[in-house]
Amino acid sequence: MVSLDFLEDVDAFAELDDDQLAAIQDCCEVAKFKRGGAIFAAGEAPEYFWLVLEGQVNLVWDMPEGPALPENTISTLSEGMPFGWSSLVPPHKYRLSAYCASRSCKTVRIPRNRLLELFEEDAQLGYKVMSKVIIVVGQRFHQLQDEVARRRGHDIINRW
Amino acid sequence: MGGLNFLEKVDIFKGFSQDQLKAASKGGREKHYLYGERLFAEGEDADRIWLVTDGQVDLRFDLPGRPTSEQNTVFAITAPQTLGWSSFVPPFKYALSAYSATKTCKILQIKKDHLLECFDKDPRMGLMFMTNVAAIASRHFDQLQESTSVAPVSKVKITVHMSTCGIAAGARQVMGALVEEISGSDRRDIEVASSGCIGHCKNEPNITVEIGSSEPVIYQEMTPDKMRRVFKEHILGGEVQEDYILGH
Repeated sequence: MVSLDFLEDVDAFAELDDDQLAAIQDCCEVAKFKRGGAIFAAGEAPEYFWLVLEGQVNLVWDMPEGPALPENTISTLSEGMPFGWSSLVPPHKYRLSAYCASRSCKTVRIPRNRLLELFEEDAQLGYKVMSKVIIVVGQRFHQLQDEVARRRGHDIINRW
Repeated sequence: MGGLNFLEKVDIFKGFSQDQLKAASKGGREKHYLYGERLFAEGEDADRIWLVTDGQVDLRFDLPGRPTSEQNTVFAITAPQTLGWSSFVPPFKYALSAYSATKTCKILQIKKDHLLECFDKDPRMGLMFMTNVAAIASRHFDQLQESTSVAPVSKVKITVHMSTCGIAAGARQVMGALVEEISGSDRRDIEVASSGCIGHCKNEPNITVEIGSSEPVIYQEMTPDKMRRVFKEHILGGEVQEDYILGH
């Protein structure tokens, strides 16, 4: 079982009280992966909101026709960091792929339907969590902007 | 402008009740901007959201020491859409600059502090708002990703002839305009290529447009504005721009 101590250190849950943390805890499942293992793929319909419990996870912008390459990594996440935010908002589609980036990694996965039900039952919990989730969204967006600028620059320079 | 009928259509207020809309818009302030006027600049403190109630606002990256340019537009925001979600994301600074892109545009500004007060009183309103912000960001995320995707099967090929003579005549600027237009469109089946001189140095910059199995069309004396028109009218609209064709 995932501990309350771990959950209260997760930024996304930082402002929740113990009862709210316990409600989240009841939804948590632990999933293990080995280095290079795919946690989810971009474009999939998301079932879970994720946290890194141990090890590292890479968020990768895969090219449709190619393999997962280290240079396509948008962000490397470590313990306590959330990912899979797009599971919580329409159109409910993972935007990036996630791979285990350490020898092994443990993740916490929270079924998105159960989390959204909790939001519905306790709007204050939902508001607190989503206020933190959009910070994660903002970080990913800026990381993606940087990567787009890099790729556009390469494409244009190569063509010229 | 800014009435409840309008507000319920605004993306960031999706799902709000009439009472919630009234509460949220109570702190709103209406403003008008003329074409080219700046609403806010990249790096400024972001402390409010901006609802476009009429017209269009372009979000652009500005280059230091240079005037703003439509070529640097990343997103075009029209009514009833919102900009300024940076005000809810650290470091609470605008990531891009915003300019009025139509003759006039009308805006409703709502301060973040007012909204946060509303959400403290009504967390369900806050939950819907934050979810809507994330959904808007998700849409922008998608647009950004698609803007650099390579078409798996290109139905349209646009070649910008970028020889030394072409570059001297402005081919780089034409290429820049083309890339921006593709980025702002939903089309993923367009391949952009560059090649050398085609022997019409007096009429550079030249571009060649090939759509499916149709005969290639070569345009002459291209400028960024002409490129944008060719993109909209020929590539998207299917209408060859006879006035610009080589030898016309």
